[in-house]
Amino acid sequence: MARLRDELDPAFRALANATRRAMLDALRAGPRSTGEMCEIFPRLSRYAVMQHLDVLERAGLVVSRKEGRQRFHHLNVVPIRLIYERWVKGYEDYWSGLLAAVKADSESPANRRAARE
Amino acid sequence: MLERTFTIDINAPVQRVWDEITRRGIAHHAMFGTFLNGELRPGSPYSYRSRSGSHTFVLGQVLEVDPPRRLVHTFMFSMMEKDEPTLVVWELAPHEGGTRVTVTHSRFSGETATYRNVSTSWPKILALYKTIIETGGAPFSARFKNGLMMGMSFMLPKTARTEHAMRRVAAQPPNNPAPSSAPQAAQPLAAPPPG
Repeated sequence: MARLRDELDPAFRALANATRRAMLDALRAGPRSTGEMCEIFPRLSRYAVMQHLDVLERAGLVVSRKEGRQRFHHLNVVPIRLIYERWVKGYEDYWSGLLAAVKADSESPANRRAARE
Repeated sequence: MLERTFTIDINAPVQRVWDEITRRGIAHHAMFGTFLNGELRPGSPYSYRSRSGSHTFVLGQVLEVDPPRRLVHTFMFSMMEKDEPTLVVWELAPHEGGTRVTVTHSRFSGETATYRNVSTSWPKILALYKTIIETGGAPFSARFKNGLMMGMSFMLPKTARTEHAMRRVAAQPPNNPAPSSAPQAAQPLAAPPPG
């Protein structure tokens, strides 16, 4: 039996929240300090912002570094790449293979004959 | 000045990861099938070349080496001559029985061609190093793509020819930027060194 828990679990859990996805989008332009993240998300308390950033950091989607008195949060897209490789690329091959089979099947002489009749 | 950070956890000891990343004389399938050229000591040229050495894709200079934990080198794409040299800091640290690899790529003067390229390349490169180190080999798809690319190297522009590319490294002042001013990872490029 395949491992039910794998190392991408934290990334999936972190991404299963619209606020956290919005936070990742906010970091695409470049690293932001905790204070700047609070300004970008004025509806959230500072505590909530820090909690969300913590979940993202534990999932590897955010790398936080202390610079002077501030903490800067950097986007790390590598786990998303790993998700893509595991869950998109593999299935793309599956679906394109399936569609190719449908095409080959529907264009087979027997089916063409059936279409003419 | 822009910078990007890329981190991945690899289930292998730090030394094993270091050996793979700095391996010479064998194709780096994670680095598009290129060969790492140059000595790992400060001041030495650092480049990723074709198998025969006729073409150079990435070139720079080693600024700092602390095996198996830290490697700092400058970075230019031979085919993006308009872009200024950038800085790559590799950091390997033990993490939960494995290794956490952090690549900090900085000193982009803006959203240059180099910036756009490495933003999408580093995740692929690090994911491939992880696969290669954890499974003992590169996936067939990567080998196949790299093989195709290398087969077409005769179509590359003149700037990718090694003798042309290396003139560009020689044109850089030695140790620029100076190793002492290379930023620690904790404060990458928050303030560019004066002068």
